[in-house]
Amino acid sequence: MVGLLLAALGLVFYAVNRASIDNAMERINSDLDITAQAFSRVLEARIQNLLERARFLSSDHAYRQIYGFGEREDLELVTFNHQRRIGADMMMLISMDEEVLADTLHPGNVEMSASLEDFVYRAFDSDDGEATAMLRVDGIPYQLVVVPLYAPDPVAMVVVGFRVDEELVSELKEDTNFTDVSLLFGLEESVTTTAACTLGPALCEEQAVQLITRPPRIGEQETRRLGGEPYVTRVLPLQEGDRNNVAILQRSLNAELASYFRLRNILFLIFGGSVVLSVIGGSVLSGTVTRPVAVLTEGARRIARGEYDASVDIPQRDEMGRLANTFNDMARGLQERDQVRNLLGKVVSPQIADELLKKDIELGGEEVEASILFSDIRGFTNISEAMSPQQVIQMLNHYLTEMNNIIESHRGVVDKYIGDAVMAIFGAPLPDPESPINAVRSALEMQSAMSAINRKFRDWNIPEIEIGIGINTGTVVAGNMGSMSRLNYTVLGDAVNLASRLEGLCKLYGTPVIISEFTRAACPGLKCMELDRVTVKGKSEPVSLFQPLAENAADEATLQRHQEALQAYRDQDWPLAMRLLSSLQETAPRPVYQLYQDRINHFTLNPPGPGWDGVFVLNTK
Amino acid sequence: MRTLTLVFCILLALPGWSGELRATVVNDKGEAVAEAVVYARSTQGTTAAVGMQRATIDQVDKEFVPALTVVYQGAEVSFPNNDNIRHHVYSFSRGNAFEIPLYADQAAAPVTFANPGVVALGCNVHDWMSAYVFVADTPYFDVTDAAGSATLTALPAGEYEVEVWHVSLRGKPEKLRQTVAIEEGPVALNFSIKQKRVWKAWRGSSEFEEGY
Repeated sequence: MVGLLLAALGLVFYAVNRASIDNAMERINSDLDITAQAFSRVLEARIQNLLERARFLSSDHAYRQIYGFGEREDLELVTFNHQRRIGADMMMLISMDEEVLADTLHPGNVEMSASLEDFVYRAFDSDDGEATAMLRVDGIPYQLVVVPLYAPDPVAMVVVGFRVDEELVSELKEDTNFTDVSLLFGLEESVTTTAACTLGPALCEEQAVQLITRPPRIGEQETRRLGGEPYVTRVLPLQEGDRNNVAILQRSLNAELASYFRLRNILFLIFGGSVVLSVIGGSVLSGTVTRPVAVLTEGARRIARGEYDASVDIPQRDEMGRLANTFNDMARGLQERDQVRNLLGKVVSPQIADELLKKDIELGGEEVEASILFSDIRGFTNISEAMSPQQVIQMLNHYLTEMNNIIESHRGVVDKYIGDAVMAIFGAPLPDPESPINAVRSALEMQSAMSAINRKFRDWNIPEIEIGIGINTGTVVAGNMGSMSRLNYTVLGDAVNLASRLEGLCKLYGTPVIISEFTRAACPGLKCMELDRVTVKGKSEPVSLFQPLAENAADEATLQRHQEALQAYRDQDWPLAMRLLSSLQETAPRPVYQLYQDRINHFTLNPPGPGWDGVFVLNTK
Repeated sequence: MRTLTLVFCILLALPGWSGELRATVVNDKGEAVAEAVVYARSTQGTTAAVGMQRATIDQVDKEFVPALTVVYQGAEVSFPNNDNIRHHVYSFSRGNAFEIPLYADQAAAPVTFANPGVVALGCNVHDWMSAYVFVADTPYFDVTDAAGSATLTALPAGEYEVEVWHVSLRGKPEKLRQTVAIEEGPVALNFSIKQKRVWKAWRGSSEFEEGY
């Protein structure tokens, strides 16, 4: 803003300056034109005056008389006398035969110097025997006039000369409105003499040096610099047609601009004042606008880096202050959201937290294919009764942390903890085509992790535990459930209930993990052992139960005999079934074989009748 | 005045009563030159006896009248002053210098011009007043008319050097000299002269010319 002001002021100043200088130049030029005319007239008048004085002298009777009768000595004496009479600086008498009869500069001289020839011949050839010239005699500049000496015929020429000196130029200066005048002699000769100059010794010297490299031209209208200041100049011939001797008229541009310079100083003051004012204004503005903006910018950068504790301090009661408050509120909001996000990630699984934060939270859900895992500590109630609450929490925290880690490592999501129970979802909220096998692997790993957990519990003097896990795969409804003010992301549906039932059956069948036929079907290649075909409570459709096995858990032959035993049981071939079960019980003992032997004993007494489908109806949860 | 001179000449030239010289004077542009003096000098020294000569140069309205007077050497010239103001007639011409200091009415003594030559007359009071007396060393002379013609009569037979002088003549008359033999009957001579500028004092101060 200050720059803009400076630019505007600079522009105004430039325009005013330009106009003033142009105007002064124009004025000086027109003044110089007039002065040049006046100068020529003044000079002409001086020459006429000089001529008249010379004529007066040349008509002096005594002069004629002495010319008529006197000797050379007499002529010289009278010539000296007459020179003094008119106050001239030199005087000569030259005969019509060009013999010098008297010469006040060089007494006794008889020969006319070559420098005078042109001048004297001009008089001879003129109508009236007169001539004027600006000439250097012995290197000294003179204004010369020559008139005939009538006795009464023209018998000789009287040459009268006045020195061209400072007195002359200062008179000329006075006569020409104080224009500086320099008279130069011998421009067309080898040596140019500054005859006189009103500029003062220093500038005259400088000018003389300048003129060597840049000679004056008649009629020139130039600006020459003298003493660092511009002078507008005019060059005039000292006499019409004279290119050898010239006058230079000079007017100082600065003198002409003196009044403008005063104005300019005032302008400078005004400009300076306004610049200072605008600088002060600018700094006030920067204090109230620029600096706060910088502070806010820095704050915004910190926010962008995730430093939500960034707060800005702008102690102003204006818009900036209000903006800062709003900014701080925003930062606090972001900080809270971030805290909520962190907390959410702990309360719910990170995937669910992301899901919740990503979308607008709304109640309701969508149908998805998912695998649901339930795990539970067997006999937890009894175990916990014998423990202090701290121990219970310590135990649960350790156990659940391990479980949680295993589930997450298989892309499962812990939906909730229900006391000691864990409900985990695979395939929601993020779809996962391998969710069934992931759930099964998760379950097997959870079971194998139990030995390490129990070792830890022994160290802590906590009873060892066993867990049962049930997995089912099917269509579930996933989404936010509850009320708008309090809701959970969870999955609902028959498939979930069945998974819960399967977990509950682990104790019955004495197996660590039970998966439904749906999960098994979704895990091709998974080695399983069929446990039973049952109708669970509240369901009409029977479902087959399997125990997933680790790769090296059981050999094929055992599994084959197991399957034959189940077939014999379903065919109501009780003896074969009993035989096979007994054999299995011996080679690969499992609680489930005892279960089946008990059932066969019961069916032997109470046959189920023909058309029995082998489905066992479970009446307990 | 010219007539008078001629009369003298005619009277004095009786013995050789014979020849006539007709001269024409032009300048180098071929223009007739008036008021030029043509004079013939016998080379045999046979000059007729000449009696007392007199001439008068008057001063009228601050001018000499006439402006040119030719006399034979030894002539007396009087300078009456018909103006009612003072004049100061002078000449510094070598051999014939004279001065009649300020005078008005009274007739001054005549001035005798004993030596041949041109006598330039001036007035110390009036610079522009100018007149010439041509003092000839021979009685045979005439002044050209407007047509540039002069006629010298009653020249005794014999050889003559003829010369011309004019106020504007550049150079000396001797340079124009022509030698001619005069017999019976007229002889014609042509002179072509070079002229110089003739400066008049105070020419430029015309405003004063009427004042004094």
